[in-house]
Amino acid sequence: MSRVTFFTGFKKAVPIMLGYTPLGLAFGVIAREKGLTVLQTALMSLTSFSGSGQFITVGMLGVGASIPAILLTNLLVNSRYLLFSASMAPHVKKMPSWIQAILAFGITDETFTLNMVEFEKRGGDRDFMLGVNIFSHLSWIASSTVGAAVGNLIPDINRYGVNFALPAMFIALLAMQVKNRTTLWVSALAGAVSLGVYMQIQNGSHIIIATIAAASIGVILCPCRRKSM
Amino acid sequence: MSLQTKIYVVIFGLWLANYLPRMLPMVVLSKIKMPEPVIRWLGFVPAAVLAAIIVPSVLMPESRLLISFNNNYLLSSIPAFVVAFKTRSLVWTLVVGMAAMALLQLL
Repeated sequence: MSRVTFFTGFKKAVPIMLGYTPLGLAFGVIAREKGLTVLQTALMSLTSFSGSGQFITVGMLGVGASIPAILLTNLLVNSRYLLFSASMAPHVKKMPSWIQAILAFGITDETFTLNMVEFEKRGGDRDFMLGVNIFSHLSWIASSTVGAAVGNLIPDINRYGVNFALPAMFIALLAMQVKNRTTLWVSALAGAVSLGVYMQIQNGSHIIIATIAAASIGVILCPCRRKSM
Repeated sequence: MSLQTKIYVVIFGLWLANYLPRMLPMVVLSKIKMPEPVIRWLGFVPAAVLAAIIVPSVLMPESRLLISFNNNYLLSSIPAFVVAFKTRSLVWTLVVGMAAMALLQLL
């Protein structure tokens, strides 16, 4: 274990930690509003480490969605991790499976992006990746726990625009995902279908229906070259 | 089932729904090749799911369609989109989007 490399990972993770802090605070506050205890909020941030999925989950819990609907929506929202994980695989090929299994736990949109950039410089480095993942995760757990603990002390936190934290995060992530005209059209289609369905049925299924429809139409209609990803 | 039990079941399920998609491809699929259409389908999912979440949450903030200057979510999303596509930065998009929302609520 190289301590120097581990802390190089930490230094590179500082911007991620700064980004997670307001988001984690906002998540903690909202989780508490929707009926989670401080302990449950901390536990969820420890075991899931998924900003988007956790926000959606507490939102759906708040409107009384069913457990299968919540988990299915999460699987869809998290399906991007399949891609992240698969595209990291070649870089960690030489490591034992149990190390891969630990490193995979820390994959998020942000740690993935950072680690992929570093792969080009230093190759797949276990200690560097651990440094990035662990400190990013710690900041997420800490900020969401603090948010849950002190949220009710701050009167009307939405005054500070916290109610827009989640849409803003999704908009930023979407911008990172829209790399070409095809993904732009698929996104527009998904948004339109989602809106149309949500105007009729409001049980959380609009996200699932729109995603499956838009991604499938994208595959069918897109005359993509092979390996165009 | 009580709400407390439901919350713990959801937390456990969420752990699986988060960990398996992150772990399985790295550990298992690094040895197998996925079929091309599956890879392409997965390639569209992130953008599609994000758009599917954003559009209703911005256009129907209180579960009704509201396309007007009274919709702070819609108005805040405009600078957020501009900054997101210009900078591709999570932090800046958050700062600008939340500041826009805070300002609009003051008006």
